[in-house]
Amino acid sequence: MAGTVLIVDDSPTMLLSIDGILSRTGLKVEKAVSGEEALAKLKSGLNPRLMITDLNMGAMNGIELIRSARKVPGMQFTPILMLTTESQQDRRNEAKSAGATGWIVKPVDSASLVKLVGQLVPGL
Amino acid sequence: MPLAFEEGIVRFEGHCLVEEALALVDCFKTSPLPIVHLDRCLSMHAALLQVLASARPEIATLPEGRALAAVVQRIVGEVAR
Amino acid sequence: MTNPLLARFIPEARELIASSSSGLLRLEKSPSDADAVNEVFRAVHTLKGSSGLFDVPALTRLVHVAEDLLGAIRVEQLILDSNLVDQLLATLDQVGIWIDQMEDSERLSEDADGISSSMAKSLRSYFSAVDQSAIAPPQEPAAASAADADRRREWLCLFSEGERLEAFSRIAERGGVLVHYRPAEDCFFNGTDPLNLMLNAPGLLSLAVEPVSPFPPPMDLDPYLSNLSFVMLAAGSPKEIEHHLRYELEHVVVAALRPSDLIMVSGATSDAPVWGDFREQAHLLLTAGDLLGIRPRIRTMLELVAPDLAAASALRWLDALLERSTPAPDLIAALIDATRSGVFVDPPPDAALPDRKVPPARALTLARDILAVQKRGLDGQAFDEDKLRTAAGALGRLAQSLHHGNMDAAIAVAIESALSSQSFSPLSVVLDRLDAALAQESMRATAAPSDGSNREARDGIAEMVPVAIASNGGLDHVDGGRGAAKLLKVDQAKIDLLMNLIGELVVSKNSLSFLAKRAEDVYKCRELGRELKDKYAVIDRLSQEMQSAIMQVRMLPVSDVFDRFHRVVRDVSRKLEKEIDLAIEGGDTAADKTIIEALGDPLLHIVRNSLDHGVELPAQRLAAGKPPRATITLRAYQEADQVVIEVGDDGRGIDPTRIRDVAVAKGVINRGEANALSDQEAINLVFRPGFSTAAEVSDLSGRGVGMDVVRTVVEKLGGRVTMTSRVGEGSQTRLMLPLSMAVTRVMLVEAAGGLYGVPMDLIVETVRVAADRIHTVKQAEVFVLREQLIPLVRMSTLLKAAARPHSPDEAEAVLVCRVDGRLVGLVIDEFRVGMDVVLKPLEGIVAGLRGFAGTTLLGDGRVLLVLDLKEFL
Repeated sequence: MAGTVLIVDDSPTMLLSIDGILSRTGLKVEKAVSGEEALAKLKSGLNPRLMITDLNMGAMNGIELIRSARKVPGMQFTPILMLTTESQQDRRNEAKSAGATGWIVKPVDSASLVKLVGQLVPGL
Repeated sequence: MPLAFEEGIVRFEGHCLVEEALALVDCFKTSPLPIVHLDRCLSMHAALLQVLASARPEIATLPEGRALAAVVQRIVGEVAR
Repeated sequence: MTNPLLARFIPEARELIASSSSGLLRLEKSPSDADAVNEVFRAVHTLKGSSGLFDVPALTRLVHVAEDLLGAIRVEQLILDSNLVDQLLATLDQVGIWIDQMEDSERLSEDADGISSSMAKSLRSYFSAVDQSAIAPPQEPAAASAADADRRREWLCLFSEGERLEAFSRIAERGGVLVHYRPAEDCFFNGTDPLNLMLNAPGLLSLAVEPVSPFPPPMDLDPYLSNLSFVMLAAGSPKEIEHHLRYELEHVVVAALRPSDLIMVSGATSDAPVWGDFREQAHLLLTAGDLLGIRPRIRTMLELVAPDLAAASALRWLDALLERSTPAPDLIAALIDATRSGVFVDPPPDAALPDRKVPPARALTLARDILAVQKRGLDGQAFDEDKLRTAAGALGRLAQSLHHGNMDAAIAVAIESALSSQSFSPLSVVLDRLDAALAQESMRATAAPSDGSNREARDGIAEMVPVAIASNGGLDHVDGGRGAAKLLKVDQAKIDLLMNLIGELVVSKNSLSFLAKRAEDVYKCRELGRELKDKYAVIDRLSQEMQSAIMQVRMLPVSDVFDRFHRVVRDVSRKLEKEIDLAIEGGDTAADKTIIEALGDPLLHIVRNSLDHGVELPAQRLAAGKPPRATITLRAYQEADQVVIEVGDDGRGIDPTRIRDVAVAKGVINRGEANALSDQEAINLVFRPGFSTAAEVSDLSGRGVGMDVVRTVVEKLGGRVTMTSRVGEGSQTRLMLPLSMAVTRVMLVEAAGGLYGVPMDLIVETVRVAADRIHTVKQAEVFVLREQLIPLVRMSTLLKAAARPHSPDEAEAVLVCRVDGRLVGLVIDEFRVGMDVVLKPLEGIVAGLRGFAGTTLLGDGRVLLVLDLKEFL
């Protein structure tokens, strides 16, 4: 019962790196390089089982994306993780109140990300 | 669909997700309550557990996972210790 | 300092401390100043990060707590009030002290840990209003309260005996955790599934789910609002569980669990005689150490009795306990007894020491090391009260941390008798006593290692701790984007050398004008003379520019010294319960480094006088028709070649009548003199030695230092100080200081056949006074200058040498000088030119010569003595 994971980051390198990690889980990886692009994909019917978004992105930041994504039909219960750095702890609570499930600290450790995804997406 | 609604029976199969909670609520609005089979249930979202706890239907079979079985038994059945 | 990293850290830390202190003060005035919050937060954050590079955990921990607080302030979880500002400033002060220590010895003093914990504790108390779980200290668990214990017991009761027995066998060695999790009602909408989260927990042994409130029937159910609470038994450490639940920690309580916590005996009580026999035998076997012998008897009993009896329950637990490799004898005994009472009482960790915890062996060794150091500091040393108190403080804290709380009284007595006998020995005795006690304890701890470790496990972790959100240990942006300013750090001595060399140059260029004069007068070569004069003009201009350039290098803005008064005014006014604002004007006015640095103490004294005596209490001000808030103004500006600093207040002012009375009472002057003084002259009395207007010496401006000291310091700097005041309106102190100290402008005068220099800043004017304008009043010569009577002093008399003879009808050359605020006419032989000189102090055999400020070399090689008129007159 695989599905799709949507990853959002304005850094192509980061997208590539997470794509590499998540492809092991059997999830289909969908990528977006901006909050706007991600939101458009969600609105046009992409229904991922998990979304991972960076915090700092150009026009629409991760927190704004999460807030908007939660309003898209089918996304209200979807686990959403935010990519943060160690120093952005104070943004985590903000992200949680915007609707994030949790956060991942960069640099991303592949083993623990795979484990986390396994817990958040039952049946992988 | 992980939840299978048959005549007088609800069968949980595999990983049962939060989206199905409303459908489950609806099926328990009827009387008599359908009987619940959990033997093929691998996991269920907390929202589904809440529906079971609210309706307290007859549980015909428990999940194989010990911990999940204990949880269901505790919150749905009479505390059978 | 050998550590280059530390050498870089220390100035950075001081800068960070300074900027966060000033940010805090700004923030106190305007709490909504987001820039100030961010600035302070960033500075403290950076400080914490950088300090982590060194082995100073006490410092890092304390700064970390401050950072947490500031973080809460930043997100407006916490309101910054003056008390909190006090605490934070005190914290920064303490960190400053530690930075000094790191600079001196590359480590913190021994009491740092104690100070750190107590300061951190009082800082944390500000969190009590905020969500406790978010910021509870990870390092120092609060003692488990009775309420916590009750709650934990309640949670454990959710598990059946079977579940607990199984958990008991599984967590036997490592210990386990008891987790309570009540997710937020709307957690499903965050993508959180609390049920799967708990079922996936590492080491899961048993999970109990309870509704928070009874579930309504499906008709009325909103399945998307969470109404569940979870209690979980798990093997493993709290850390693992906390990591697993890291996104939900604010809804989670994790308590470490010792196996014996799981033991609960329940059921009906019944006591048949057969139980008595069992207990007797079991106790005997236990005493004999034959644990294996007990087990068959348990089996037999279990077959005999009904399983729902409490005694049966106790037997099942006893059986499970005996299965373990090293069951604690006191637990076995307690369970044997429970077969009668039906109640299991978990015995205290150590029956011999029921009242306190026994620290682990490692801590004991450490404590004894500390004691040894303290003892070395006392033995054979000369008595010193400060040292005594420091050692006693360290001893007290040590005793407390080891739960020897009852040492306090003994230490207090020891201090008293040490003070009366002026010796360290009473404290040494207490020290030895504690050491001996610790020695015994550590022997016990090492003699029974299994027992000891068991005890440690039972003591150390069995407390319920609200979980802290993972803390930021990151060093990733220590240097967070601070732009490198193009600054060159130069040793002050090098600047001073340059300054001296230029001073010499300025002086030697003077010889060119002598040379030009000789070319004309002696060698009759006008053209050469004129060319020399031209060259002289060029060199003169260049050297002056050079001099002012190098002087600029030494210039510092007065704000360097002004800025610290924000803190002084704030702290003192709070202490005195006065409301006072500090206004600073002209902070960018610059003056020579030496002046700025020397200005601190006199200014401090003047400001404290204003705070202490000048400004009234708010009620008094209101009664006098003034606004309750007073203002103290620090103003600086440049006036000609002087920098003027004014300290003003709008307080009660100085009452000249009272000053006269006090001066007479203190014997500074007699009543007649006092009455003859003008009001201004009366006010000037405060500068007289031995005068202090305060009826009692306060701890603020007192300390036996009066305005006379201020005057002395200012005059040493070549400046003057005056004070004006209007009763009821306030007072103003004016300091006039030279911009620079290195070059002194003097006027050359001829007197008594020699050439002398008189500092230009003392000279008011030069006049020629005809002999008939000189009057004699009471054998003293005076003359009238613009309706002012000025006493005359003849230089030849002062110098004890003959004046140049001159005819009686020739007018006298008089140098009118201001000395100590009074005008004096100095009768000399002739005025000469004014010139810049670099003053050298008197050295060698003339060093003690009074009346001379120093010497300087003239362009033609002669040595010029510069007079110190104040001492001369």
